[in-house]
Amino acid sequence: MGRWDFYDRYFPPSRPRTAKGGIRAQSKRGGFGESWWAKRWITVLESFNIGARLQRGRRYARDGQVLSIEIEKGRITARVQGSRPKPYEIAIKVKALSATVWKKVADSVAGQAVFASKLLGGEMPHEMEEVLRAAGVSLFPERYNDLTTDCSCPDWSNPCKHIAAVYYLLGEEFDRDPFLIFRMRGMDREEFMTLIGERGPARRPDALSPPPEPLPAAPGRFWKVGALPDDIAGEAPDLRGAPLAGAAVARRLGRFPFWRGSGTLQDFLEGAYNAAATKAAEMIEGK
Amino acid sequence: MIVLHAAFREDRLLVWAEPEAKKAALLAAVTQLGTGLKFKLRDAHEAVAWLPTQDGQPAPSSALADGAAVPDQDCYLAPHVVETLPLCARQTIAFLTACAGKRIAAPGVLLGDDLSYWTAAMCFCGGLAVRGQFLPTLVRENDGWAARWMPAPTGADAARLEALAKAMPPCARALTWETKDQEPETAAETTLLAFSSFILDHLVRSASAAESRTKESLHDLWLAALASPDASVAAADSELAALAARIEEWQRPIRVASLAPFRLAFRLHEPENGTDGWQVKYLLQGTKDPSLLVPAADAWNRKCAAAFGSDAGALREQLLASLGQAAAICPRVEASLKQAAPEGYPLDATGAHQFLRETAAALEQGGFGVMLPSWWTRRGTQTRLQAHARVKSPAAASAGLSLEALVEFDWEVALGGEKMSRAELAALARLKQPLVKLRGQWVEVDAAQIQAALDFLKHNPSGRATAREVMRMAIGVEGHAGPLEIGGVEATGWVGDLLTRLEGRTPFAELPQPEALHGVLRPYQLRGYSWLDFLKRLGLGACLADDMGLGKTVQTLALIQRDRAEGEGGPVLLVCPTSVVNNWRKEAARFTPELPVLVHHGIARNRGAAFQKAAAEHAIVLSSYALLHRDQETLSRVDWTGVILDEAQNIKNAGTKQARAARALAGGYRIALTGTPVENNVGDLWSLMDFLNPSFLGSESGFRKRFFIPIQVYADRGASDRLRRITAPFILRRLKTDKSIIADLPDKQEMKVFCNLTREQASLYEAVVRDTQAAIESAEGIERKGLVLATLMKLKQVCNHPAQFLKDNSALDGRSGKLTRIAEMLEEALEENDRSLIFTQFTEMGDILQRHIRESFGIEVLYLHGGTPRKQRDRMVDRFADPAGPRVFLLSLKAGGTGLNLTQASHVFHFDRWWNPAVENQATDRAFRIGQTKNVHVHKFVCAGTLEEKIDEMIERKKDVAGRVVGTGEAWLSELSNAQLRDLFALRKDAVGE
Repeated sequence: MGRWDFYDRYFPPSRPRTAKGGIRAQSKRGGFGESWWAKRWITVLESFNIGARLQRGRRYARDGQVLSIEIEKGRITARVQGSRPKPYEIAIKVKALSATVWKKVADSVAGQAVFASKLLGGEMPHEMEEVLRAAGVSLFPERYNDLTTDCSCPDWSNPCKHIAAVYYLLGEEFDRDPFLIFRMRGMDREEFMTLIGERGPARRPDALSPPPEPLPAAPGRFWKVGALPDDIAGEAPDLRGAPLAGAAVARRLGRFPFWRGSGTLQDFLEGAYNAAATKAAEMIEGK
Repeated sequence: MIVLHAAFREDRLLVWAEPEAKKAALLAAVTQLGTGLKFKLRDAHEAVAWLPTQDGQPAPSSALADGAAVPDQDCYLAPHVVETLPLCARQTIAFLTACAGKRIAAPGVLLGDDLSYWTAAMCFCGGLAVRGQFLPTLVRENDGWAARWMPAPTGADAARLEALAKAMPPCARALTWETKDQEPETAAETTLLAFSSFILDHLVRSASAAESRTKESLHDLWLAALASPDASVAAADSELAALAARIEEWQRPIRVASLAPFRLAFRLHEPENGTDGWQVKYLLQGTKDPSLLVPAADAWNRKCAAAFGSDAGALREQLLASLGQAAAICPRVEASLKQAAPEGYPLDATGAHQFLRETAAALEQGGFGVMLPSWWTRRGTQTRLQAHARVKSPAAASAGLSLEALVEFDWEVALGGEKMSRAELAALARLKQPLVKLRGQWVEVDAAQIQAALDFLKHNPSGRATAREVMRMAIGVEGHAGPLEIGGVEATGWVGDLLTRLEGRTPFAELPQPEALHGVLRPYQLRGYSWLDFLKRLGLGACLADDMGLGKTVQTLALIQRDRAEGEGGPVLLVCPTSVVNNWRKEAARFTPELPVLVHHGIARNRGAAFQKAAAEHAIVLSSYALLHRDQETLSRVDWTGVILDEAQNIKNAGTKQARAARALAGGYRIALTGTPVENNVGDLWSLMDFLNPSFLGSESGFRKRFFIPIQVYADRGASDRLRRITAPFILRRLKTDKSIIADLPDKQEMKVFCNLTREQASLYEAVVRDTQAAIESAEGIERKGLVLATLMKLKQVCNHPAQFLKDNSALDGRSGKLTRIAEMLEEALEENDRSLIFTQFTEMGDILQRHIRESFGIEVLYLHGGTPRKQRDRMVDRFADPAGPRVFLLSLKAGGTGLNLTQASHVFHFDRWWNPAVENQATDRAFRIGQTKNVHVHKFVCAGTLEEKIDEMIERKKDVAGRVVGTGEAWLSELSNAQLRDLFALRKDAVGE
């Protein structure tokens, strides 16, 4: 289905150029987002009544037309491959919550371990919505006024399919890391944790490389091997029963932010970890 | 002697040799390891090694490397250019695998201790890969980017990493490619991590299927580079830097966990007396010290941060984050988070069972610590349903003791080791409780399993099997009865007696010593010989593995003698190494002179029918391992009464021709003799047991899977206990340090060790006799005396080693019967961690022995001779007394004869004889002194059929008057008449052992 413009000129339906290496939605069919908060985010978009653009947006998201997404405080920027050679630039501005509001939120949250632990564990606690409502605001933008969206495409309607595509992918990303919702609303992860009294200033977990150790000149020390742990290889792998380490590690790592590979990362990792386990067992068993 | 070492630098393991070796020598040494790797001269490169140095020369790594040990305080660190062979990861794995468990690569090529360190480090990397303790990364590498798999150890693996880093010898990081100005600035942990990345990256990369991947996005490029031999990723630097940051963000949870000083752990608590309340408690567990456990309550109170060397905020954050992650796995954790400071949650029995069965494993896989009650973790043997066979047999077997006799038994079922009647089982199943406290102990109740057990009992209330099968059930060879695991056998009557005796729980009847045996068996020897007889009667093979010197020979001969006395007419085949054929012959002549012995050895040996006929006329046929395969056809013509393997470690490799030939021999009973601790060498056990009791341990590959790999690679206690239980009935090993043995032994025990001459030695011997005989006979007085003594000296040298006689510094191995024998005996002594003194009269022989022992075993050998300065001599004595010091001490008889106190030795070898008992005894007494707490075994080496044996006989005959007759030197020999001398020098045929 094409469309007619103001001057009665017909535009055939535009086909986007094939994008290479864009972000591909993890969801292959049906809805986007698995967690309740991601679903809530998508609902906001879908409540805008933009009709067929939603469907195209989904297609764009699944086909990898979205080339990049950056989330900053109160502002999201993205690049989407449309029908023109130059990707469209997209900006979504979200109303940041005021410091007073955040302080209120923090105060009511500090009493229960569940908030901090769930957020840190990668989940948005259900109770958070109520807490925000009590503070007189909502976690997700509810009205169009809360959002300012802009796309460099020629389509006049806003939100356009490009914006919709970005919106869907953001939903998936929120699935992975709910703190991104906070960031969108003007609050960083570390800042929030400090606010609720959980920890001091942000530090990156970093292994410090140990300082160089001078070589001893005494032959007795220079050549000496210390006591070795006697279970050096650790426990035997259970190559028959329990699933191999691959699945567990992949699960612990969770989704990759804005994955753009042609296959899924999970499959790749499981294969690699399992093959390595088998090969390593052969090595230590001296085969 | 050269020593191989290895150091890790950047992306290569650099193998080098000490003392400084040329490229060709280095390559040859590495090649001799049998790695299957091929190297060319151009593969070797110069590097700079920073080594402890004295006067410009590198100090040797041990006293083994040529050069004298340098005291620590005299050294400084200095650079030396050395040739190295840089190995990539694939080559490193092949190289270290070939090094595993060895001290020497080849005679004269020693493997430094640092190589065993690297082998352990490689094993550690393998463990990391097995448990998925690594992550894919994107890192900057020489101006570009590379996709690498990096180690990310957590929990016990983090603790191993730390222990391993601590154990790293500084020499492992002492090589650099740089110029000589700057010594390498390395740290053990950094070096170990780099090495682990190096091995892991190769392992994962090479295991990944190299499928062709589409490369549409940067992410695709990254994955492709992770799975292909080339790790580099080519794209714009800014994009790659952004991707690297994303990857880091993605791995944050695991990185945080692996760097955190603790992890969250869950412990299941049983209900306290009488209540139904189970509890799961949250704890913090130290990453590096898993035994450090702190209840969550203390963490909420910010008390315990110091214990983990962390700040309270970080501690809380991680605890919270971990609980959040665990909540996703276990809903009960989520429920507990409603409180401000959750410490755990309560459970009922069903919940506890679910926790044990499912949640615990899921949490463990999620990277959390889980601690379960010991009755659950031990449940392998403790809480499962098991079938027990209850055997009732008459007090005495009707037709004599036989394993083929049929016995009847009733099946019983036990749960958690407690016998359960059928009614009790049915009642238990009706409880519908997954966990039940049964007679004070928690057990898992699986209704379906109980039903299966009830069905089994209904259809198989009783059974019938041969006593042999019952025995297999009892020691754990036979695993299952229907759906049930067999837990054991309870037996009364003769079967019960049999089992308790087999398992060594009750002593078996001791037999009287055979009448025709000359000499008296010591009490433990009587027990050993009775044990051999007991197993033989049951048709079971036995391995007598007594310590060297306890008299395995005489126990075996007693058994054969008893058999003959009881009417057994057929011959016994006794296979031994060539080096001890003569010793057996002599021992048989001494203890059992009535038993005719046939030596099947040498060129003139019989074959085919002639052999068959000859064998039938003898009680013992002595042969060697070499002939076991070569004369297989001839040997298989005889229906042997028994087959005995001496030094049975000769068949430890099941695949060798001699091992196969040994297993193929048809015969009545089978016995293996060995002085090495067989039960500790799991790898060697299968072949030995399969010879003794065919198919008892199943197939070799099955054995590898069930026992060898779990025990050797993963230190699995359960598997080694099972194996010990299965093999214990067939192995008797007594140590000379056992209290009961010490009481039986004299403090000093002397024995002759009869050796062979090699063909080379025999022809040299005959040449010497030929050349001198006429001269002696035509000479007189002083001249004759001189000639006689000179000839004696030459013949002694020939008996020792051709290289000593020829003084040509030629190769040593395989040219002297004595040298071969002493190496075999030392191997046993070293395996038992015994100390040995070796006396020789000849300085040159001392040199030969030192070189040979060093090069064959890769150990340090002290050598004290007339030219050793006083100061050094005292130091040697001190070092020998040090428990960590060298275990072999060579002494020239004169130098070692006086003023030394060497009571640490338990073996004294007289490699050649000073034909004067007084001098010999004085030397022996170095080791045997007042204050001596252990028994001393004195081994006097004698070449059979040579003048050595004849003079020995002369001394033995006149022992009582020896002091008077032989005086203080060897001069008395020159007083012998020409006829006596001719007889003395003549070489008997049996001297040659080939």
